[in-house]
Amino acid sequence: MSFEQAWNVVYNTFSYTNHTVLPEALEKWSTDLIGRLLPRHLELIYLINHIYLTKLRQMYPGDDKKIQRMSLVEEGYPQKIRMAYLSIVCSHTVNGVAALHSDLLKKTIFSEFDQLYPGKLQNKTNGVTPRRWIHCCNQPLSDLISDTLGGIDEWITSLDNLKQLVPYATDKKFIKQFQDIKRECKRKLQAWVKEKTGIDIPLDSLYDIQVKRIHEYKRQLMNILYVIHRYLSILDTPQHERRNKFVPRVVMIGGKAAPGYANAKAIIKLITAVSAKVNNDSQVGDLLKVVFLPNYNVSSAQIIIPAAELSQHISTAGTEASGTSNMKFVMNGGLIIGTMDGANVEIA
Amino acid sequence: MFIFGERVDGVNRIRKELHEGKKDYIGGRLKRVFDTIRSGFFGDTQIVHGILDGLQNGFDHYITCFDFYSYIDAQNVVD
Repeated sequence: MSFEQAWNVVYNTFSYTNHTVLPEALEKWSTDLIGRLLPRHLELIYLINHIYLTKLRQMYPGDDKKIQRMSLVEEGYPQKIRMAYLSIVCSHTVNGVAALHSDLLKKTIFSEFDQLYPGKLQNKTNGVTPRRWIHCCNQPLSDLISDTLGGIDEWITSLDNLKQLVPYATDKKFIKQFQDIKRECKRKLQAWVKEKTGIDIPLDSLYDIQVKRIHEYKRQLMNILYVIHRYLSILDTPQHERRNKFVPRVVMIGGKAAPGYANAKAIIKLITAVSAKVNNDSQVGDLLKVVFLPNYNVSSAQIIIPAAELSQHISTAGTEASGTSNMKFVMNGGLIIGTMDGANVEIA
Repeated sequence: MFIFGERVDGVNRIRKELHEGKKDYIGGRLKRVFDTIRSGFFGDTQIVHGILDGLQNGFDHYITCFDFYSYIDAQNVVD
């Protein structure tokens, strides 16, 4: 096969999905490393870059700075290959993972590539499967939906069919059935929390949940700072007025921190410290409980998410590429408190 | 959906202001929360004191102190 034929196969086969807006998160590999491990690959990368730079020089004659900026090879010590740029050049399409994210890619880190290849940069918003996040994790809800839609479970593979539920939003019988299911899911989570943490949480409180990796941009810190503010406000209020002023809440925060991420671990420590104080304050009682949900993973998510009445997706606007747990909570009839970031924008 | 907080443009504006040396932005209610943590009210939480000092002194890259107040408003609507 000639190089040109091979190139056409590659170009028409591959598309590249980008998952970040942070330039520092775009990988660059040293040519020294690639040359040692994958010498033939490095030869091909240099060849692709040669052909690509020839095209750039024709398009932007004399603009050496721009050509240097866009080159697949970053000069310096060590010399590096810009892997994201290589992916853009070799793919027929490039996509971000939510409308806002794709738009930011075009305006920021890939703006020059959007000019070079108009239409190549697109959006494909991330998604989750209703098989796992309704049908598998919340069977009573799955049954309610199927029964309401005339005993047909086609919605499991064609989620658009859920639009047929809209008239039932004001149907008393349907609402009662939904509430009973939510309560049963809360009961399951209540037992899980007791088993994993030893903490007793009341059933008749609002279940307010934030579960995701612990990261400063996701702002679990803002959540716990608000919880402290709420706790202080309760203490400020005379005992007999508290019931009228505050909706009882159980605030649950869960997620893992990367091993070397000291600030994320410090935030977990603050959450557990607040939890220990608030949960043992008899003055506050059931008005506020705070739980750190340990060892968050997909298995525990299947118990946690169906029980949520409120879920938090509160990252700083422009930082969360998509986020998908917002979709999982909504599928289980939970409401979102959130910022205009990632896929929240499309849900809102 | 209970929406709150700065949009992308607002985030960029605030980051620029912080970069240019904006001071005294945390507000009374958040300051009280910080002071309560620092006082040892929740036991030994010294491990986060450095983060709080940063937030208060211009190193608030994720604009937590700025979105905090619209977050309170959104939480009131939730209640």
